[in-house]
Amino acid sequence: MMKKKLWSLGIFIILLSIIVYWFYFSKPTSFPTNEQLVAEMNRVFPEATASIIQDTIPIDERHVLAPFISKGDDYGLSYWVWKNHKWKVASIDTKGKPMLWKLNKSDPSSFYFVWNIDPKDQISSIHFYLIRDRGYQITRGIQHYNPKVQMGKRVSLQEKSYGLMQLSGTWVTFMNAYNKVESAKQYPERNMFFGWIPYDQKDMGIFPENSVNGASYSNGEIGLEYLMIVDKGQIEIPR
Amino acid sequence: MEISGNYNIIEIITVILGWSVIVFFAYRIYQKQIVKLKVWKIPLIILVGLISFSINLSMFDLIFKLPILPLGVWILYFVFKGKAEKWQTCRSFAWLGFGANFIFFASTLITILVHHVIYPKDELSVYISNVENASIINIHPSAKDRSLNIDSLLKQLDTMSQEAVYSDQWYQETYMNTESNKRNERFPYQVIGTSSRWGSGLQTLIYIEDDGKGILVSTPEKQLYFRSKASLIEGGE
Repeated sequence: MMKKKLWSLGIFIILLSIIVYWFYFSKPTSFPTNEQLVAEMNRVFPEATASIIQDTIPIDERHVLAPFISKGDDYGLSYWVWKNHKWKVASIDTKGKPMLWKLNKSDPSSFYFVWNIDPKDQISSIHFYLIRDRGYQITRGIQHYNPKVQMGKRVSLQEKSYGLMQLSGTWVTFMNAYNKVESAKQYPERNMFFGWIPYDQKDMGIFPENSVNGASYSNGEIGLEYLMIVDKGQIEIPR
Repeated sequence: MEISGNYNIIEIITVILGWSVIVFFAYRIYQKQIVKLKVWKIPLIILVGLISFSINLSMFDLIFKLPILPLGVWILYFVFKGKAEKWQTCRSFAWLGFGANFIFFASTLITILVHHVIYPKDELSVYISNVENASIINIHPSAKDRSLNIDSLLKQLDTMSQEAVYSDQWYQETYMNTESNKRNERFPYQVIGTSSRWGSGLQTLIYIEDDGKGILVSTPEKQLYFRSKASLIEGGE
């Protein structure tokens, strides 16, 4: 009798672990077709009115970026994540202004700039920035000086309206050191931010009217950071 | 990241010591008891006894919790109201729980004092060790194409002189005599690949001055500024 009970308990545990593994850890199945993507997006977020999937760009095994064009000819972005044994759309933006997608919130090397700029805006390049403003503090005679951090990266938009870019190594190095010091503080400052400046053919700063102020959907499980458009006057050009 | 990591070894030791003292006292109380409490209940009573109202004291740039009211002991007192014998067996453990707050308070103090002795806070070599794989990155466009002179840094690590942080002066100098946004950052390089001394658990951001002769160390608590005689960076131009 006892033996029988042990047997069934053992089988139960094995079955349970197989199901748990299948549900949480198994390798993703093949990515849905473009028609399926469009249908799913319009189902969860009808305002998207998705019509054409421009591309599906796998970032890693479990994250795919799919830029799309809507029926109203807007250029948007959809974010797909493999979770609970299913490809889910984690977020949809009907306009493709740049955002920062954090695959793993605690690891800056998993952060990606993503964008899908409307060709009507005639933007030929984007400058991305990591900025920590210069500042000083004197509290009870103790002085503190924050050097300005300004790191930039230029991306050309000549061929495609969309794209993505991983944070570069030096950015990640700085952020890791910065985050460690800040999180050990009693009053963290969090004075570092990301921004962008769009440029046209003649390298003049312009405002990307057709790529901002869209509608967006999120399932609440995605790390997406909004990027400010930085004022050109704020950027320091020493040489 | 690496296995050695950067843990505060002093803190780990004092926390273990603190708990050992509590276990020791619990054992003594248990031995003296005639009517004994069930062993698995002892940690439970001690944990409830730990609950307290405390005030925050600010010392050494840190906030300490000084326990005032033994809330946990009172809770237990009401739970065992009318069961005098049971309360008799629990009481000492409940008070030990409250007393444990003071043991932790003391262990925090000891941690800080010992830490200050073993890792002097005004020595650059406490913040920068393992220089072998160090390098610099440019964190501002005014940084030039330079590299870290590791030999120079190693040689001067113990002889660099500490100077005051003139934060407001540095800030104002940057904005003075510069047209629009053609500004230079005073500390445009960050040192990477170093770690603070083993076991100190200190986190740092380390900047180098544009002339290559100054190091600004930023820790969660404070900043330190050191000057060297010879430049710590080389190359370029």
